Amino acid sequence: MSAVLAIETSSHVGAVCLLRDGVAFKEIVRDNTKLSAWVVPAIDRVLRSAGLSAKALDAIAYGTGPGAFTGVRTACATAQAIAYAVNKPLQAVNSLTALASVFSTAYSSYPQFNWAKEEIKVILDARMSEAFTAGFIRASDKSLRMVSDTALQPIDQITFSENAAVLGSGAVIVARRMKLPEAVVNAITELTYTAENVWAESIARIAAILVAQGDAGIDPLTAEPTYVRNNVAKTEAERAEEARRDTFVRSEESTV
Amino acid sequence: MKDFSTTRSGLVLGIESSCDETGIALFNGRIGVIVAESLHSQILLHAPFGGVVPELAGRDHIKYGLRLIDSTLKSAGISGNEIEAVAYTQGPGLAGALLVGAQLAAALAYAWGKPTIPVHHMEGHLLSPMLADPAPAFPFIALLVSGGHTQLMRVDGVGRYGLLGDTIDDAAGEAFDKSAKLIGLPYPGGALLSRLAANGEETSFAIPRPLLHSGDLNFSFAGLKTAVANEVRHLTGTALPARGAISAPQPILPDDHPRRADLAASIQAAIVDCLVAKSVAALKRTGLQRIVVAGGVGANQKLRESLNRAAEKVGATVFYPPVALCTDNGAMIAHVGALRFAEAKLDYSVNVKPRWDLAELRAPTPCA
Ligand SMILES: Nc1ncnc2c1ncn2[C@@H]1O[C@H](COP(=O)(O)OP(=O)(O)O)[C@@H](O)[C@H]1O
Repeated sequence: MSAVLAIETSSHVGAVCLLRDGVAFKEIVRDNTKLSAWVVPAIDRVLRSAGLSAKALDAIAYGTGPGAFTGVRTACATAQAIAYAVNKPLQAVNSLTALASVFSTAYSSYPQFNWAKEEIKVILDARMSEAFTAGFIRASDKSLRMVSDTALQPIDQITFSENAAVLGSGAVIVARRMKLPEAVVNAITELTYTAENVWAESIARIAAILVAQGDAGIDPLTAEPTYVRNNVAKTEAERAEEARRDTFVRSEESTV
Repeated sequence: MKDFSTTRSGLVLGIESSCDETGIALFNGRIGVIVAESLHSQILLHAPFGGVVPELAGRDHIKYGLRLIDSTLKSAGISGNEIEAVAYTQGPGLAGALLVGAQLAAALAYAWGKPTIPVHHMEGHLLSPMLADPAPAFPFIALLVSGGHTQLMRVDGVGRYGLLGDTIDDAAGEAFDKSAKLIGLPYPGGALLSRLAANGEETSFAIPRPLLHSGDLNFSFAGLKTAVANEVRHLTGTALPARGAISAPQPILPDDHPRRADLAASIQAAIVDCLVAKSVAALKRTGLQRIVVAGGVGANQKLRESLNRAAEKVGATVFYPPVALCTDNGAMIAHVGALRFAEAKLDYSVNVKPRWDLAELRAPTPCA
């Protein structure tokens, strides 16, 4: 018997899933619910529906992000605290990897995507005209291998071909901007929606495999989210330097 | 009413993360004692930015939160299952910072099967003098002076607070910090300014004391900052920007300027005069004989001396929290959690309140 709890709150979607002997008990919200208010009560409902208490879990997993700063901390804090309190292993799973892995199960419904040949690209809306991206290749044993690490890119510089294997909130934005055929935009939208619905389940499945392989996971005390976007403020020295450069430019201009 | 008499340990875990300090403590509500505590300050992290960067605060809270909780429990030799409730700061403060402590609290309490107690950060400060020896009895006046607050309250009991006066612009701590910046001290410069002031002459500069004779119990410190900025322009020989010009950068006093200590002393005297005058007026108006000082500015030695002297003249006694509890800390949150233990609930839904008026609080009421 195995019971893995997974938590994903890095975006507008909140998802928790208890994977118990392969069966998923889950809850998902996507209606602007405040995820911090929702998440622990949702975990409680999911565990209750399976007749389990937190102490009966074998492992706890969380989507590390990247994503909304507050959201990635919500999942991390919740998961690390539960793992610590019940003294069970903690698994950190990249949220983009979890979405990409849905391709392995959902692809057959979307024959137009050349998923098997090409890199699977996950593109998530990161706001501020940027997107989090990562690329994956499906190995012969059907597992996913990350081939281009999670990165932050200007969203208007991202392009892909019509039959590329892409998904994620950012992929939908790019497809619309590129004016790809309506059928393609719809397919990407639908696939993204489907993948988001099993986001936590996907995290739980990845974690369950790690646990089965004897992976001890990470120490709850040092667990952290994945931010990727790190330039969040300028130091006074940097601002002074900019002001100096600004004044310089301005006086140059005024002498012209 | 639910109290600690029927509990096993009487222990409340307190978690504070509203701004730039991660504070954790275990408080024994049955005997009223802080059992263990730990604190991580982010002052060095934010210093290069000249102020607290909210996102960096959130990142640091999650980096240290659970580690501090673990070391607090270990140092007390307590396991999570032995505590009675988890109290956490629900507000006011930075949303992203509050969320980390609150989320850790909710998830821990849930997994331990214990109730939670959301706490108002300023009530933590307000009641922290009760942890001193001797402790003040109710009713008393409270002067709340921190980086974000400057209030005079009448305190008749836990949750029974009446606002007597408030700042209409900057907080006293803010006035200290902004002035400190103008005289070339690193953020947050309040404590450094007061150290510098010890070697200065406080009558050398005419710094205004706004609202001193306003007849009410309110404060105003924004004009004081402008006055300091003008003094610094004079001292550095910088002209005021011409009308309509692109605003010139505000000059900062160099750290070897001969008048620096004098200016620091004059600034401190102005702020302290305002705080003391209104505190005494509050004592007179209410007829109360006890006043407590809470919040970071309460650490100011000059404020303590002046207030002690002024209070003595009107026959009142001043109480201060233990020095370690003057800045943000977990003990004051665990303490309020214990005082509000009757309100502990198996509620794990996190709803932080970045803005939350102390006057909204009520006396503890047992929940169903
Ligand atoms: N000795 C002192 N003199 C004047 N101000 C001080 C002194 N020590 C600390 N402060 C000020 O207290 C404030 C911090 O208090 P704190 O209660 O932690 O406030 P907050 O939680 O609102 O930031 C800062 O503005 C700091 O400069």
